[in-house]
Amino acid sequence: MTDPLGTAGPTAPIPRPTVIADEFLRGLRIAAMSVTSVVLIFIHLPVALQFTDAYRWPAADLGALVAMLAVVAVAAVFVALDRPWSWLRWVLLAVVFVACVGGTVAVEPEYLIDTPHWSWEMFGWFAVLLLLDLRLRWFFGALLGQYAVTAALILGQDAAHAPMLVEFGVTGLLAGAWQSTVALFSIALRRSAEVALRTAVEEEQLRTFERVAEQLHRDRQARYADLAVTTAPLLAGLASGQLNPADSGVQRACSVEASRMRRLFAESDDVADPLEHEIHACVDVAERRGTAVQMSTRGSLPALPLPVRRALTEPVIAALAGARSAARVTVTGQTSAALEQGVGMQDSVTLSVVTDGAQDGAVEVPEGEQILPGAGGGIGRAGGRVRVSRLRSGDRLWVEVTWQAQPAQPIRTVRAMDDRTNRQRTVRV
Amino acid sequence: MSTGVNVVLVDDHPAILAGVQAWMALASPPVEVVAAGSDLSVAWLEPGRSVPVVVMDLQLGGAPAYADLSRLVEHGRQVVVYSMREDSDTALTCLEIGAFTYLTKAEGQAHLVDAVRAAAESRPYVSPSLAGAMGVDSRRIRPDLAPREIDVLLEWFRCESKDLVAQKLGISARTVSTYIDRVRIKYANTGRPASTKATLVARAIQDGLVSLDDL
Repeated sequence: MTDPLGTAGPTAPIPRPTVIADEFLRGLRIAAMSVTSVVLIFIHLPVALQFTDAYRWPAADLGALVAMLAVVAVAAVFVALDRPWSWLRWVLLAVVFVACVGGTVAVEPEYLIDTPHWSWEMFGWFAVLLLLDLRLRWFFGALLGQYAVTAALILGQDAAHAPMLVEFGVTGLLAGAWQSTVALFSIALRRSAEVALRTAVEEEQLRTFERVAEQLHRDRQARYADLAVTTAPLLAGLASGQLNPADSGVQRACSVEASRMRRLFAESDDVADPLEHEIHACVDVAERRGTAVQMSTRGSLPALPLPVRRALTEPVIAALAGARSAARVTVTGQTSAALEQGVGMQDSVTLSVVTDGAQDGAVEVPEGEQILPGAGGGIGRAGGRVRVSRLRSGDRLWVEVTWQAQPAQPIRTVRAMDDRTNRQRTVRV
Repeated sequence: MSTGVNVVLVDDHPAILAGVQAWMALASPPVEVVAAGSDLSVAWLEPGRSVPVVVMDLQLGGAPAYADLSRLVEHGRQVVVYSMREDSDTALTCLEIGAFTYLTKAEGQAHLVDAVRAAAESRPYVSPSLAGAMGVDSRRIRPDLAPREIDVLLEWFRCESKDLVAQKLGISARTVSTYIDRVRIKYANTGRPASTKATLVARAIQDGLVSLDDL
């Protein structure tokens, strides 16, 4: 009850804010990588090799080709490893840019806007690939920047003339349109990824709130149900005058209820050792009534679920309520985990209370044994047997409550009569 | 015994010293407190030096005085450790060093007087708090205890009355004492040797509490 969410079932992990966008971007990055490689290798590579003659310095043409192939190779490794570009994107982009400018400067002027001058159209694809995950303005900035530099270089050529510029504009627009489309598409994808993420987080929060609220409600109802059975009738009796507060029996009943309520409050505290904490709560009520309680603990206590802890403390509450002036409460525990020897011993916890004044009142502590299921319904996870024993001697009452972990069901055999044969036989139980 | 029982008291709280002195005087027959003081010098200087039984507080203004306890034990003194500390480890450590017995200050007059008398006669004495510590002892060096012995120890710890334990387990109070004393002898027979432990074992064999075969 101290952990409402923990008991409400496994909570789905809330996605990391970037996970959804990462998934989209990864696909997009692979697509951009493929397009860039295909355009370079299948369209521009043959052109570059065929038209070296169209360059004043053929080395610039081949250099641009080699540089771009190298960039494609490095980028392919990064994409394959799914590693972010970080600062490398700027180095690669710079290499591509220098290659483009080299090609533009080296090409014979008459081929400036012609098939042999292939490299300047390539820049946009690299810009898409390398700037995909940044804001759109970086892509357009890089693309327009490169266009401006290319335009300036064309204008600087003596052979520049109006039709050539028009042709440059048209070619640039065509190539740029393809590239811009991909870039815009990536932005759209990223936006929808963000929306999807926000929605997922909001839904998750809503589900969490609902579960917490449900659990709190259930806890409150359970607490009220516990009190309604015992405390409410007592209070009603006192209010209606049916019960006399001067009567020692009524006083004891009040003391028991006070202890139960204190225990109930203590149950929802988040403490290292809930059992000891709850026993202290019960002892506290007895001490307030003037009983000198001596408390001692020995050994190590295993973690016990609430029903077991209640079964352990309930008889102690009843016994303490009957104490006249003094009580000794002890807790002894044994966990197999704490044992250096004695392997095979069972986990057990014993609460013992010895009080005086046993003959004064009729304190009823029923003896008996019950089997409590552990967390998850089974006998494991600290379910087990709780046994109450009582001994009255003179004016002393000694109540002992022992919880013992149930061992894995041993196969017991008993002799039983077989109805058909009328003979005894051994039966597995 | 013809000669009275003598004891030295060491405790740094004057009220405890005065209280224990009063208990010893009220005991029947009375126990004579030969020397009492706030530090161990009273146990090492005359007249306290020649008194074998020492009741000492474990915490004399600081950390547990294990070294002082050890020195007293080495000189064959029967030390009854009387401490505020409730934990099992402290009690078991004192026993391991060779203390005669261990009592917590929550355990009162009757237990302390009995323990002092037992110490003077080298007969085992196990207080309820010490029994609790032995009952949950999970250390590797713990002597082998029978399940029944563990039951008796823990019940003695829980109710502090041998009569109640006897009623509960359906045995005589004398048998309860025997179980507890035999456990004490088993402890004396483990761990590092000390002359006080040897005396305890020897006396137990002499009294027929244990036989050599048991050990």
